[in-house]
Amino acid sequence: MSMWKPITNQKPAKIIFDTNFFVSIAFQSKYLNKLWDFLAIEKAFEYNLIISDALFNEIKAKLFGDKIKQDLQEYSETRMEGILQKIRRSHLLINPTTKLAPLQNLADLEDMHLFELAMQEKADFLLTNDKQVLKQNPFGLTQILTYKQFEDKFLKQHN
Amino acid sequence: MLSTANIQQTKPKIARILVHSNPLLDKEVRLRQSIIPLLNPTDIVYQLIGERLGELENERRQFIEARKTLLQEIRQDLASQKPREEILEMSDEELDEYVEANY
Repeated sequence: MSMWKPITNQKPAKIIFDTNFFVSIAFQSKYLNKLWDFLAIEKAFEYNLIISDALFNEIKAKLFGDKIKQDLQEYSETRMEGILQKIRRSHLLINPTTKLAPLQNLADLEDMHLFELAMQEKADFLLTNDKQVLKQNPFGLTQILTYKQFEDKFLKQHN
Repeated sequence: MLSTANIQQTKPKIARILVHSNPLLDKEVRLRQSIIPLLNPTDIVYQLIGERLGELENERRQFIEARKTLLQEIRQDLASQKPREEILEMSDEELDEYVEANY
C-alpha cells in the first residue's frame, strides 16, 4: 500500500514584525498577543515569522531600555528575557547578505534593515505601525500593513 | 508548462537517474522487486520518494507541535507582567499610538 501523503504546494507566508510590536507585547496588548499566538502556534504551518540579528538587537535594546522600565509596574528582566525566548522559539533567523541603497522618503535610515530582510526573503508581509515605514508600501513583493489591517484582512476571517 | 503526457514520459528517466546516482535507492528498488516481481521500478522509486516525503512532513509536524507546547508555556509566564495603570486602561488603538509615539 502506498504511504503517499499529499503535501500542500503552498509555501508558508513570511511575516516580519517591527520592533514596537514586542514593546506592545510587553504591555499586554491583547490583540497583538492573540495575533502572535495565532501565527506562531495555531497557524504555524501556514506562516513563517522571520527576524534578523539587527531586528532582534533593536527589540532587545527597547525591552531592556530605561523608558520601558518607567512604563511597567514591576519591571522584570526575567520576563523581558521570556519575550526574547518566545521570539527565538517562534521566528526563523535570517541575516540579509546584501545592503540596499537608502530609500527615498524614509526618515529613519536605521529602519533599512527591515527592508533588507524583506527584500532578501521576499517576505509577504511587513507589519508595523510606523507611518514612515508604511509609506513604502508595497515594497517589492512585500505588503506593508499595520497590525490592525493585517488582523482585519487575515485573522478575523478565521474567527 | 509540462503536460501530463510529458510528465509520464519523463518519470522513468528521472527514476533511472535517481537509482543510478543513489546505491541505497537502487538496493531498495531491487529488494522490493524481488518480493513482488510485477512491480514497475519507476513506480517503486516514486513510491519510495512519496514515503520519504511523508516521513519528512511528519517530522516537520512533530517539530512544530513541540514548538507549540514550548510557546504556550512561555505565554503563561509572560501573563503576569503588567504595565502601569494608565497604559493598562488604554484601548488597542490608544496603546498602538502610545507605543509609536514613545518608542
